[in-house]
Amino acid sequence: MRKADIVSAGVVAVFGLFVLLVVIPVWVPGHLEGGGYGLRAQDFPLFTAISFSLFAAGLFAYRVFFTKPDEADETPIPPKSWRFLAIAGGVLAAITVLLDTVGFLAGGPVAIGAFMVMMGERRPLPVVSLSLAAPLAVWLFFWKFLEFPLP
Amino acid sequence: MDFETIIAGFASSLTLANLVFICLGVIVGIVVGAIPGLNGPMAIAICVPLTFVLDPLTAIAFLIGINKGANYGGSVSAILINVPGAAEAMATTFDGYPLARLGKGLKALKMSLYASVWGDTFSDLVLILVAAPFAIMALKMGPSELFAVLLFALTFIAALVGSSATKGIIAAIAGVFLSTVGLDPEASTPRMTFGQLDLEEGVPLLALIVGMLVLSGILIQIEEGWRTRHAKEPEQRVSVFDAKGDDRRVTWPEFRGCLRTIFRSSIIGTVIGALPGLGSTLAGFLGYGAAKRASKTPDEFGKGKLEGVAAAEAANSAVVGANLIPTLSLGIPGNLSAAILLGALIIHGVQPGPMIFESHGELIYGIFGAMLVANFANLLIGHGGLRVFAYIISLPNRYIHPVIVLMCFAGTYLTTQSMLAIGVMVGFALLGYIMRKLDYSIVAFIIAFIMGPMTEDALRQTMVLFGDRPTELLTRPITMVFFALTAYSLWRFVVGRKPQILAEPN
Repeated sequence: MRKADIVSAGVVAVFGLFVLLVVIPVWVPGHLEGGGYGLRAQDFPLFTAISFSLFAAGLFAYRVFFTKPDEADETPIPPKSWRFLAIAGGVLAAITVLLDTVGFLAGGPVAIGAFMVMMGERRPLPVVSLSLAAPLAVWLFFWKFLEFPLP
Repeated sequence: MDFETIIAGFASSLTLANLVFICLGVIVGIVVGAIPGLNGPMAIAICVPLTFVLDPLTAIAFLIGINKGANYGGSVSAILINVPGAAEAMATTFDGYPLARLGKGLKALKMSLYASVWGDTFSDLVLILVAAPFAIMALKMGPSELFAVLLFALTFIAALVGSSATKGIIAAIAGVFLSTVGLDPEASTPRMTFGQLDLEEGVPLLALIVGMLVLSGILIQIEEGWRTRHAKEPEQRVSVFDAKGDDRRVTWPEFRGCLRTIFRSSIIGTVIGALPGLGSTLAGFLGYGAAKRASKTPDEFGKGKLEGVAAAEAANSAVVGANLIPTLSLGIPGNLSAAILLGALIIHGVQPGPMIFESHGELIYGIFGAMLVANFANLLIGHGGLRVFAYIISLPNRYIHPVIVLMCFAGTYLTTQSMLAIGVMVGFALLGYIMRKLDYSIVAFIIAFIMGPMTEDALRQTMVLFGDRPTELLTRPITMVFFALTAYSLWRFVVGRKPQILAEPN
């Protein structure tokens, strides 16, 4: 996993720098007025961001300078996996939008159906019946038992 | 802590509502634990939102029932189809499946149940005896001692979970960093909320846990299914209900012969459970290994030895109760289940830590009572529902997992009534997928996220007391010892090599 470690550690270290130079200065006002309580608002975020950046940089340097390249080194996330992640992310995002716009009873069946198809179910009867039954059962459970109406 | 509070606490666990929910929890736990790819922490995470309408004791009792049921449930598929329902049941497959192939599957299932309940009860009793004195000792600790202990616990857990100590520590520190999102605890200054009011209370805990733990795990399994879609799976399922005579049950001589092993494994599991980060899987392997070494017939292990099943199950189940010792006394969760239970306590208005026995004594002893009741429920339900559980694990995942995904959306919405929480859940599902693939520990991330606020608080108080005279810290021996242990852990596991046996699956 040498290549993956180099890339991931590099990304984490760069992200850490971004947090230190942009995110914290802009989105965490620091102050120490009249005594404070030990730490300014930005101190603990700074401390943790510096720490994970240093560890990531250390891992990066170790993998680059102290380990040899290995021809058999396979990337743990090949292009197929990135494609899968994009599809899965798209499906999850679409479900989120559906639930927000048309509600649970309309969006739920789409969610169940989409995931069943993604998992290899092709027969219409199981897809349709579970897509209708499961969201209705969940909606009724939340409404009657938890007294919480889903959207 | 007076005697009446203890009695009242135990008595409160025996109300009808608590008994019903404990049994429900055990059933949910066994079912989820038995299904490969799902596990106890996932079930607890999905069910936490459902406990909002319950009072704290009933809620925690329900979740504890799930935890205990799942611990046994993992052995059902381990024995019947040679696939552990959860990682901790790995060692159970060594002798459980061979026993099933010899026509003694029911015997193995029942021994697994008895050993699991025994180990669980043993560690619960240790918890009940040790937790309160431990909390009293912890009360004597000042902020600097508490900060040092938390720092060591975070480092130790992060270095041990997952296969890479460095990546575990990166994940843990990132989790602590993420916990700073929200309002600064002193001046209520918004930190990294990006102008979103919904983020002022921080990143929603349940959305993060459900996304990172449950949804990302399901995504991994879906992708695995895509990769192996055309591969023919060898038939591994063994039917166990046709057995006759003594093959259907554990005889008294057989159980008596395994008692010493069960007791030894219970001790091993309890010690492992009391130490944060080591986990049930390690306990199962150590218990199995110890039984094999102590046996007069070690060559029979791995070929269908009933003692092997007993050893693994007693050890991995004994972790459950002991894990709550640091969780309740110090607020340091030893593993993922304990972390989620701790999160559930916080959601229900109970702050874990040394003061918990003073401020919520009756609740705590109610939880202890519920744990003992849950063991009894596990025994009865596990025994009576074997056919049902065996049927359930035969259902294809493509029917079960979509419903779980739907429950994730519904449960997460329930906690905040905010679509931002759903968005957070989806985002962390994708991040969790990437982290699992790259071997960054999501367990370390989640545990550190939960412990982050407590750690910041302890550091803040330490800075107030010692900020202008830091050399006084050198006069505090407990603080210095734990700082030294932290440094040693970093050197030992990051610079040195972590022993492979300590590598927990992600």
